[in-house]
Amino acid sequence: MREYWILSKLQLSSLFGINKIVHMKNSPDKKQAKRSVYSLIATAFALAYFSVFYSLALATAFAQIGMLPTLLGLMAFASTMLLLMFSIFETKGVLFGFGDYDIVMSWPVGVRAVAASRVTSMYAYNFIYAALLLVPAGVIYAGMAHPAWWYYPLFILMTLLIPALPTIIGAILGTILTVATARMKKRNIMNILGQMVLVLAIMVLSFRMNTSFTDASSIQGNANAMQSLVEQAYPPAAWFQNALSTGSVADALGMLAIFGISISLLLLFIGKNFVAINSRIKSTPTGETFVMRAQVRSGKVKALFHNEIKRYFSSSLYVVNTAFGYIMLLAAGAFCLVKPEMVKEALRTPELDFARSVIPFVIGWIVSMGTTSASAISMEGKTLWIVKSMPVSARDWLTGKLMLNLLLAVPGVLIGCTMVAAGIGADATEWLWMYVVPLTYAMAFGVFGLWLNIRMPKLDWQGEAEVVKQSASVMICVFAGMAAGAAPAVVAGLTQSPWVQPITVIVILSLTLWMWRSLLKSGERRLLQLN
Amino acid sequence: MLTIEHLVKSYGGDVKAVDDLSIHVYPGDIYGFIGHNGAGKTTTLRAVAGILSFDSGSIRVNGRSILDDPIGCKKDMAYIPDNPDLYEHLTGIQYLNFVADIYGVSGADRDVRIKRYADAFEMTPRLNDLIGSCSHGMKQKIAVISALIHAPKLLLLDEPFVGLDPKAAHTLKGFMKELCEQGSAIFFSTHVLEVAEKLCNKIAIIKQGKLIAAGDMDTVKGDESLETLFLELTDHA
Repeated sequence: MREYWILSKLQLSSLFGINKIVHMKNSPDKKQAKRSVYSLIATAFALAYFSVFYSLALATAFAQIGMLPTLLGLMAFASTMLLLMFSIFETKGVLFGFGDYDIVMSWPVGVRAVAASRVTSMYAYNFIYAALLLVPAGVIYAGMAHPAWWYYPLFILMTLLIPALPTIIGAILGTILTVATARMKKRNIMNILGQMVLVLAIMVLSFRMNTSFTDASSIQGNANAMQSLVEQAYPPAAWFQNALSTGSVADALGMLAIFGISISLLLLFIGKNFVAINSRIKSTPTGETFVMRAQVRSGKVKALFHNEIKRYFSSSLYVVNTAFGYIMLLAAGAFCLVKPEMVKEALRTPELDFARSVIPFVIGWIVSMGTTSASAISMEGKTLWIVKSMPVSARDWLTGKLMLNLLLAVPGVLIGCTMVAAGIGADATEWLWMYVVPLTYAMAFGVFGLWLNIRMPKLDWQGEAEVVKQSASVMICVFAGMAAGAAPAVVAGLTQSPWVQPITVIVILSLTLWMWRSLLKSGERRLLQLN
Repeated sequence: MLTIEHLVKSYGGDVKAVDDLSIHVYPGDIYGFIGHNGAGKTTTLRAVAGILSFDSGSIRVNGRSILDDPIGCKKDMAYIPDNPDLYEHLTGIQYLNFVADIYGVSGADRDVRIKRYADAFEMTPRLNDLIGSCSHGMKQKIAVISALIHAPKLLLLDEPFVGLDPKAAHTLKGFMKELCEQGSAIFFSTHVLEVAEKLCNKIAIIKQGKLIAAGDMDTVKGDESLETLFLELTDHA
C-alpha cells in the first residue's frame, strides 16, 4: 500500500504540470507553464459553464413534467460514454507503454502497485472530466429538488464511483486492442482502425438501445426516451439516479459493488499481465534487412511535411482524437446519401426550418475539432532539438504542420460535404457555402492551433495523451471551435440572413491572416525559446 | 570557424550557467570542452547550435552571427546532443534522407556518404528498422551518420562516445580526424579525459560557467596529464 501511495503521488504530482510550476525557478519557462495551467483552468470553467447551461435547460424541461431525477441519470450516462471512449484512447500511453516504464519497473516495488498507480492516474483524469458534467447537474438538481442532507455526501460518493466502470471497461478494451495489434506489421494503422471501430460501436450501440424516440416533438416524449435510454443502455446510471433521488440503499450499494469488483478484477488482470503486455508493446519487430539503393532527394518543406505525416500516423491516439470528427462527417454524409428522403423530410418540418443555413457551421465546428496543429508542436517533445539545430526557418516548419492539417481537412470536407449537400438536395448557394465555410474553418483552425501551441507548448510529456487530450492548447482550440461554430450558427438560424455566411468567412479569414503573420513575425524567436 | 565572445546565459535565477565565456575554434581544430556535470558545457554547445537563446555575448560561425543569420550558420553546422532523441516514427534510412533533404544533399552524394558511414558503423543492414526499436548505441550511430552526411564545416558533439561500443568509438574518432584534415572544425564536450588528451589539439576547461583554462593542448597541460591538470584546476581554481 505504501508503494502504491508513493507511486500515485508521483503520478498525480505531474497532473497538468502543477509540480513543475511549484518547483521551477522564475524564468520564461515558468511563465509559460503558468499560462498553460491558467488557460486550462479557464477552459475548464468555460466547459463547466456550458455544462451548467445544458443541465439547466434539461432540468427546467424535466421539472415541468415531474421527471427532474432523469437529469442525474442522463448526465451519468453521458459522462460514462465519454469516459469509456477516452479510456480506450488513453490505455496505450497512460496504462501501458508510458515513457518512464523502464525506470519505474527497475525500482523495488510490486508490479501491482505500479499497475494500480497507473490506473489511479487514468481514473484521476477521468474523474475531472466526469465532475465537469456531473457537478453542475448535481448542484442544479439540489437547487430545484431541495433534497435531504444525505444527498450531498452521497452525491460526492456517487460522483467518485461513476468513472470507475467506464475506466475499467475502456482499459480492458484498449488493452485487448493494444496487445492484439502490437506485433502486426502495420500495427499503428490497425490500432487506429480498431479504436475507431470500438468507439463507433459504442456510439451506435448506446443509441440503438433507445427505441422510444417516437414523439420527438414533445417534452414528455423526449424525456421518456431519455429515461429509457439511461435504464436500458447503462443500468449503473439509473442506480446513480435512484440512489440520489430516492435514497435507495440497494442502488447505492450496487454502485459501490460495481466499483469494488471492477477495480479488483482490473488490478488482478493487469497485475498478472502488466510486464508481459508492456514487453509486447515495447518490443518492436525489426524491419527487413536494408540494401542500399539510390536515394531520392526532396525539397525542404516536402521533407518536413512527410515527416509530419509519418509522425501523425505513428500515433493512434493522435489520429483517433483528430480524425474522428471527419469519420463522423463521412458517416453523416453517407446517411444523407442513403436516406435522402428521410433527411429532406426532417428538414422540411417547422422545428428544423433553420437547419439548412446552420449545416455549414456545424461542419465547420466538426472540422475545428479535427485540428492536428494544436498539438503538433508539443508532439515534437524531446526531438525538438532536431529541427532547432537544422537550417529550417519557422515558416517552413510551421507550413509542414499546417499542411498536415489541410491534408486531412480538405478531402474530408470535400467528400463529406458533397455527400451531405447531395443528400439534402442543396441549391447552388448552399453547395457553395457547404464547401467554403468548412474549408475556411480548416485553414483558420490549422493556423489557430499553431498560434496557440507555440505559446502553450507541452514538450516534457511522458505519454502522448498528455498532449493530445489534456494540453491547454488542444482544449482551448476545441472550445474556440465550438464557439466559432455555434455563434454564427445561432445568428444564421435566428435571422436566416444570407449575409451570415460571407461575413463569417471574411471575419475568420481576416483573423487567420493576422494570426499567420503574427506566427511568421515571432516564429523564429518563439521557436528558439521552446525548451 | 567558431567565435564565442563573452557568452552569458542564466536560467532565471542568480546563478549564471555560462559566465563571460570566450572561445575561438579554427578550421582543422578538434577542440575538447571539459568540466564537471552542470559546469555549462551542454548550455554552451546548445547556444552555439542555435537551440538555446542566451543573455549576452556573441556567437559567430564562419563569420556569421547565430542571432542575425541562424539559418546560414546552421547550414554549416551539425550538432549531436548527449542523448540521441531521434524521430522514433522513422526508420534509420528515412531519418538520414530527411536530414539530407533539409541540408540539400544531392542524391549522388547522399548515396555515397550513407553507404560509407553506415557500413563503417555496421548499421547498413539495420537501416530499415524503426528508430524507436533501436538501442541507445544504434541511435547514437544514426545521429553521428546524420551529422556527417552533409559534410559540416563545424561539428558540435555533446558527449559523443557515450553509448558507443569500442569499435564505433574508434571509427568515430577516425572520422573526426578526417573531417578536420579536410578543413572542418570540431567542438565537443567529453568526460573521457584520455580521449580528449589523445584526440584534441585544443582544450577548454569550464567550471561553474567560467572558463578556467583554454588553448593548445600542450600549452595548457604542460608536462602534466590532462587528468591531473583537470583535477587541480577544478578543485582549486
